[in-house]
Amino acid sequence: MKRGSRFWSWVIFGLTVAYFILPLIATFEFSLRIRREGYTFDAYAIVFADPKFQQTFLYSIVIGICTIIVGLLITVPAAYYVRLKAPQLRPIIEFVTLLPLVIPAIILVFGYIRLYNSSSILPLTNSNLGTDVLLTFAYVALALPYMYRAVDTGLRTIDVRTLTEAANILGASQVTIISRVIFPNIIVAVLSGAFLTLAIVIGEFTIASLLNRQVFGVYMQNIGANKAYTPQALAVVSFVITWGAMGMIQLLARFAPKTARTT
Amino acid sequence: MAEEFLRIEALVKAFAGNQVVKGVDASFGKGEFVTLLGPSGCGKTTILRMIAGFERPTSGQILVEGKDISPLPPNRRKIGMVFQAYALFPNMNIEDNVGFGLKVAGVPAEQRRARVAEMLKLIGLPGFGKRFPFEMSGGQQQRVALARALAPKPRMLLLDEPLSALDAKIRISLRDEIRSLQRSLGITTIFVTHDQEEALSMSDRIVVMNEGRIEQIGAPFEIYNFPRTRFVASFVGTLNILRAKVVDGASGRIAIDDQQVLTARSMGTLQDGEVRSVALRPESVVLDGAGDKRNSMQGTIEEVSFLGAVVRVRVRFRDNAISLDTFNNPSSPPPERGAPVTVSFQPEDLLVLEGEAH
Amino acid sequence: MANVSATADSNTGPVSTGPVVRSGGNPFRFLGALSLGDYLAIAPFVIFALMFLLVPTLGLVVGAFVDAQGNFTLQNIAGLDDPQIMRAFTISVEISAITALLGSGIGLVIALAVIRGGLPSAMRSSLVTFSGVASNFAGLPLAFAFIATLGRLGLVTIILKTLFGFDLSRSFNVISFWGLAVTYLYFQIPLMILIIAPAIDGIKKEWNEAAATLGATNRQFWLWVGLPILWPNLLGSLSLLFANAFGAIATAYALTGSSLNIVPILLYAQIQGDVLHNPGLGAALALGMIVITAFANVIYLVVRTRAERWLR
Repeated sequence: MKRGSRFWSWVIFGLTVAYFILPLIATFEFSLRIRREGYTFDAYAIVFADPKFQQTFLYSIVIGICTIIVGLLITVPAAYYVRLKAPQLRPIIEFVTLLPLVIPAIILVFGYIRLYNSSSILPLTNSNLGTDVLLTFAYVALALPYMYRAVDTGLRTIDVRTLTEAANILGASQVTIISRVIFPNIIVAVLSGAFLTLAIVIGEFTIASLLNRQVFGVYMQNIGANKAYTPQALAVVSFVITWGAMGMIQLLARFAPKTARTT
Repeated sequence: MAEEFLRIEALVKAFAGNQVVKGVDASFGKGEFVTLLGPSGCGKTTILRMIAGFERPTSGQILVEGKDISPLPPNRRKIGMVFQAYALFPNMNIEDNVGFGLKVAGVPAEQRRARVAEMLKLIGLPGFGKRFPFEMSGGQQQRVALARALAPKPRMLLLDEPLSALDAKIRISLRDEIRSLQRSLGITTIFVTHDQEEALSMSDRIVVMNEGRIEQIGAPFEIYNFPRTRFVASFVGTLNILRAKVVDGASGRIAIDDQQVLTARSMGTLQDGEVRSVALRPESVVLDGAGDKRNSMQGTIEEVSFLGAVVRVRVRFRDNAISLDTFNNPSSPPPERGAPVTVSFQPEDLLVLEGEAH
Repeated sequence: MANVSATADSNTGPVSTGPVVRSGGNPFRFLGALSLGDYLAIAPFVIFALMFLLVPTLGLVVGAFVDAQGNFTLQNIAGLDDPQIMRAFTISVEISAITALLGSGIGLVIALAVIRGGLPSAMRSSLVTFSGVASNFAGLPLAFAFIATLGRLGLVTIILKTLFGFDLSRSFNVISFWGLAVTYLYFQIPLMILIIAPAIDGIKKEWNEAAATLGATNRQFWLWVGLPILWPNLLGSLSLLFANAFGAIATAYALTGSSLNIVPILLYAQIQGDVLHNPGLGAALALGMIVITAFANVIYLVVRTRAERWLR
């Protein structure tokens, strides 16, 4: 590489960093400006003290955890059996996991509202619990591509087929195999998927607002529409959470089992 | 040797303080087929890449036809190169791949077409011009890579382990093709490999390398039969290595496991009682003493491996053991394990190696 | 004397046994080969997919062709030919196309600079990691962030005013079409980097080197080898970025609200309060969105599989 071109590469890299860091800095700086006298963290104090903040945040976390659990119950067995017994189903499964990326969230929730409203067989939207269930499943759909890929990668890395066969020959039952051999080895991958799901759920707005659920995202929009400075504080909180989740995933990647060599 | 074409002087290459090439001098003649042979990490590929221009020497010079080519970037050295991974451009068909160097040089389309057709005929793939790399086998792709490298008539050809990614049979047939192509074109060629059979069968001269240094340069016959160091002896061909104690340096008498044998050369420089490694090619050893062999030793048969046409026998003395091969004979079964046996060989076949016995 | 050794070696030398073949199931027998346990394992996935992905979407598609009484009709689709709705589609297409083009172009330059520009290789992984996070930054926080950056009281606006005396707010309003476009770029560019990075990685160093030994300059390499290889991926990522922007709503909702008439905002309003006074129209709008995003995504998928075939 000639010296000249390397210079431009650094310039581009620098500009990129600036473009991406600047809004983050600006948001933080803005959030400190709530008082005219100078920089304070009052915006954060207001936000954290707000009971609605605590309620919606907690609600989002709970929904997030439910999403993770349901998501795992759906993807882990499916991924396991596709790898082991029915690799022919793989294209179909992968197509399904592509759907949430192709279908915009607003279309999805619109479809749900039409399908599960008061005049359908399964009137989920009629009750609060029903709507919560619907919301959870909507989030499972959003997180499906990422969660499936995380679990599938985890299974592939540990070469599930060989591990299962080895455990089988040694006399282990299917349940034992899944709980004692497979799951502990994919737990890192599973946690990665879980953190990603959490990040997605915390920030979501569209689906929740159309289903009239008081999630963190809806609260943010409310604040954003009515106030100044506090929305930016919320944005910073949201960034920190997302970064934190991603950071955990990176950290977990270090503890992941290395790729098995297939012989 | 023909007039000198390529010379390497005191070539050194270090990566982050770690010396990969530790001062190499060599000289190659025009039209010569030279192989750099050695295990992974010995520096052979690094030297090749420095000749090509992809690595800058830490110190030393590379001279082509008397001129130092170090200041030239790779695209101005007029050197053809064939890579282990073929490196054919996937977005172009075979014709365009082979003609790429000509296109870059501004050769008009008509002439390009003619030259490409000529090259394709040379490598035995005349009708394949419109095919794409992904439609072709590894062996075919490598031939195309060769044609592509040779099309612009470079002054030197470099090959970086071109056969390592191919199946054994293809490797052997391609070996011959490359060699005959090189002979007919008369182009100076440097070939890098870790496969000693390739090196022996293809080269005019072999440069055996180990840990960044040249161990020996010579013709295949010389390298194989007269290795100068233990490394060369053990890397090239199969070899038996034995620990021997010098009994009488003047007359060349040594003792292997207390059995005395003669070596062909006087070893005046060695002290009596010194311990040395000696090498013995399996093919020079005969079972049960065939008449004219002047050295013989008693041992026990430790292992017999039936390999089909050949029976490989391992004979143990005490601390030392040797492998030897004998032809399969349907009318007499292979020797028994544990049977006592005499092995014989000529004094000339014993090679005393430089360096301490290991 | 014959060379016994060499014969022995050629008999025991490396033998090619061909590629490892995994015994998969016979595709026509697979249903029978699965046991009850297997069905139970896959069932939740299948049921979920049907209930919460396929059926709702298909229901919408069908609903676009059905009137209030349940009869087949094309009236809903015809109803799309309304100036407000057409305007919404136009603006949506515009903003999606612009952010796709800009996002692809800028993302490509950045990815090339970092991966092939002679920078330390650690930069590549941090860029890709960051892009992974940033491409998900869409939504409300992003809108708030850009208000804080380019808005009337934003940091950049203030810096430009104090340092250069240039009043950004006079010529640029972040709450506008272009404000939204710039905001969208914040996740479009990283998305492009994520998609194109593997493709750039796929441009093997050996091709550069081979081209160099054949006399090509760097420019000639990119012109005749590099860009042609990347070309399908570029097309595919344009498509994907387009679809991504077209379906985005939360950012727009928080930034421009109902002041910018794009299709998702219109649909949102329609779902919430039937602003169009015509329920079937909502389904038709949704159908329009589905058709456009599906089309763009299909282009992306087709292009990607063809590109992979090349690089085998």
